[in-house]
Amino acid sequence: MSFLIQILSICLVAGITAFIAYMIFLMFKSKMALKISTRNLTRQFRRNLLLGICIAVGMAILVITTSFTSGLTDIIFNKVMIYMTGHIRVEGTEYTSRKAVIIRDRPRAEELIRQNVEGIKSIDEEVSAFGRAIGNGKTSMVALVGISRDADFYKETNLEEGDPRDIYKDDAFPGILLYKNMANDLNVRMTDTVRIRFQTIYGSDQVIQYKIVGLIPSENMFMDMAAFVDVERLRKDLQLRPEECLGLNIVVNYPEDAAKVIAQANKLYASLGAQVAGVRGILTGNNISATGDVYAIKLTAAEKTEEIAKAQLRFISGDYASFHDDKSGIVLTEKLASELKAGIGTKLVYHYIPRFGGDEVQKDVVVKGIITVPDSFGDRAAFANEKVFLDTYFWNLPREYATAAAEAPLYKALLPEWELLERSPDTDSMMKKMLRLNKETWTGYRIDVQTMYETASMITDFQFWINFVSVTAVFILFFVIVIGVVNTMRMSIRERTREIGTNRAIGMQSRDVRLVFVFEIVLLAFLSCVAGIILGFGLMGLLGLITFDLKDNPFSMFFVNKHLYFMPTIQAIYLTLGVIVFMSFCVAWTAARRAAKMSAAEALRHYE
Amino acid sequence: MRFLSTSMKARLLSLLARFLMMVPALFAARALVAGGEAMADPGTDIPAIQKIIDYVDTTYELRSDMTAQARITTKDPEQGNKIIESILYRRDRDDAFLVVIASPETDRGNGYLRVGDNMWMYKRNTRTFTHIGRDEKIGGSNATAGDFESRKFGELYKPATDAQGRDKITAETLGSGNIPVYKVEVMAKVNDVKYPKLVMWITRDKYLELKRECYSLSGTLMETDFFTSYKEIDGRYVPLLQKFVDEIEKGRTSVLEITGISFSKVDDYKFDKAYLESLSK
Repeated sequence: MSFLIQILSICLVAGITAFIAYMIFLMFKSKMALKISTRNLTRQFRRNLLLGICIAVGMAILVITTSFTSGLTDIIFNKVMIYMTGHIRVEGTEYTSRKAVIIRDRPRAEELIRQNVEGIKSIDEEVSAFGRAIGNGKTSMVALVGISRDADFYKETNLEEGDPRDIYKDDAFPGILLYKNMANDLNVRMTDTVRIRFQTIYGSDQVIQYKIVGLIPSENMFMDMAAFVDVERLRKDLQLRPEECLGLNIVVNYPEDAAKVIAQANKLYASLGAQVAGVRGILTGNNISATGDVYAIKLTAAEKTEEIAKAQLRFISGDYASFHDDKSGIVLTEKLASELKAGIGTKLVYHYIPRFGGDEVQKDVVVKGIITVPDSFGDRAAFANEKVFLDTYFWNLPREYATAAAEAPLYKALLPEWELLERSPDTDSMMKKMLRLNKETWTGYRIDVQTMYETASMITDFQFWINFVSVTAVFILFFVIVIGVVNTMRMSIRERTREIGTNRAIGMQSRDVRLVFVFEIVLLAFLSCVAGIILGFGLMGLLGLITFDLKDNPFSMFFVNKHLYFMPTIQAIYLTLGVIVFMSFCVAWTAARRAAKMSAAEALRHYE
Repeated sequence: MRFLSTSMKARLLSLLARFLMMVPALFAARALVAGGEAMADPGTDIPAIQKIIDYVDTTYELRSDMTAQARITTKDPEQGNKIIESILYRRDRDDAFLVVIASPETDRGNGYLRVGDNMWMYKRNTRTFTHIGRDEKIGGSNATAGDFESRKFGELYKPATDAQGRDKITAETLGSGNIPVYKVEVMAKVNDVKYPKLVMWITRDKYLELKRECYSLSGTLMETDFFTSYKEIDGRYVPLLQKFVDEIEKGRTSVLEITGISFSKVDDYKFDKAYLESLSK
């Protein structure tokens, strides 16, 4: 759809440019007609002035509406959506002992994004928390947003008081930036402290006391709830590691090109195929250690998966049921069991070095079976109960991964690194998907790729309807202008019939008669449009001066600094001007044909 | 009379979840009291914290069906004072429970039923059951069905030690009554606990927890809990009065009063949607 609109716009611009070039050519070629037209414009000055004012006002309204909708688009795509979800968002949800929205391996995710998404402006990591702020005897809900030290935020944010960079200055308390309305709600001022309580990604209660180092003028209700703090400090307080974040928001250079944004998201989605969750770890028992590739069997998945596991784990000793029922159960290949001198019931310690540093990860496991080597696996493989990995793997990704061949018969029964959630075409289907997922009992890690056209299709739908109303208004105005032009033309031709006869009698060709009328209207339309553009800009300037205090109105998100936001574009103005002049030309051409076809004698006989 | 606000629901559910799932750990059985001397380290009167944790877990295993009436009084400077009364049933076999709201009148007959992995919220006015997923917020509150799942204390906490590696446990007295207690400090051994540090005051004779301070990850005191009015019922000591004081938002307190507690077997039919529905007919 967006592609078609683009093609249509390009064709319109090209067509209008060709038309203007043609008109200029005609004017140069028929200088006499141009001269008569210019003179005629001043002859019926009052009528032409009234029609000109009508066209100019219409043009001014069109300039204002197109600039307003362009402003809205700019706000939605570049001021609201960027902060909400980016243009494309990658989000991971982990369910181990609790649910957490998190990306554990940010460098890997960023690499995949850079490889698969074109035209990336930035990849913003999300480190945020929703909590309760406690001020001077007042409380309020607050969204804590971590700001990185090199973010454009510092350049783009004008504070009423304070310096935004003070949020990461060493002080007794970490710094925080609040919106003025939030500060008023909390009854706090500059240099006061506020305490914010929130939960870490592991569900622990956390309270941090912040010092207010800056107040941001309140722009709209949507943003008032946000409070900005140093990302590194917040990351630590949320118990996130440096390589972890809550989500990745991709900002692209072409946010308004829905088709391209969705295509890029689909491309990224297709590239996110997961391997199985596997660890090259060490198993220790009986004072013997052996390196093995440890995988986990999916036990909370569909029955079919369990059938595969039962069929492919061929037990030499032990059985599947006891392995399934023991949360710390593990089955070893014959060779690994022999090296470890392990039998059924032997207690082992499974350990590995985590990918991002920290203490070695350890977990006690119990041997519940010895198996022959499954097809396409090495002879040093071990398969743990899913619970073993839920307690270790996802919270502590390994330095050394163990991989498995996708064609291995056991592959589908193994716990994957992640599962991909299906793409959602719009907000409705995304909400339904989320509700379904909330009701599902699942464990592991799931990745979702969304674009703003899905996560906020309601906002983009709203923008569509604003545009629709604007286009409808444009058509109504065009219609009014056309009626005005037709009326003026008819009156002009009627009044000048004898003049046409005289001109024809002294040798003026019918083509030149037509051009006189066409040039007159085209010049009138063009000059009026120029006046309308000047008037439109003047009105926009005046409207922009009005302050709208919409503190509690959700529409306040469509205002900037409490003022209407206009973003005039050369293309929109050029198109509007071109269309009005072209329509005037068409109407004038049709009406002027009647005048051009008149014979000199017939015209001279005409009496009012 | 107003409907229960979201924050009230959250408080109610969080307190009931704590009572239904965690309170058994507060019950000290007679047998444990008799064996109390065995907890003390040789040569000292002060027991090792790990032993206390192990005993808490052992008492936790001593569970049974339960019926009780709970009255929760919350005080909030912003929302005022509110009282919620409810009837609780718990079935030990599968951790099933039923909470039926008795007052305020506007919420009377509403309830929460959990059987196995499923939890439902019942609304008397519409006579509808809403299934609550593991992670869904209950009734717009911050509580989730997952909050009603329990783990052993020993799986979550370990003894806190000082620089010399000694347990942080001291013998002292508590309150104006100078009750002899052990002050015990424990630290979370896993990440996913609500409070990473707890300081508990436990009576020296019967090992009853009287007071608990809950600290955040940053070391801020978040909440102080008081457990009083212990009563011996069927060989267990139950704190019939529990007070939870919010240390961050001053003035916010919740008091949980338990009455009519019984550990007799609860009939299976009570853990059925039809029973909850029949209560509002």
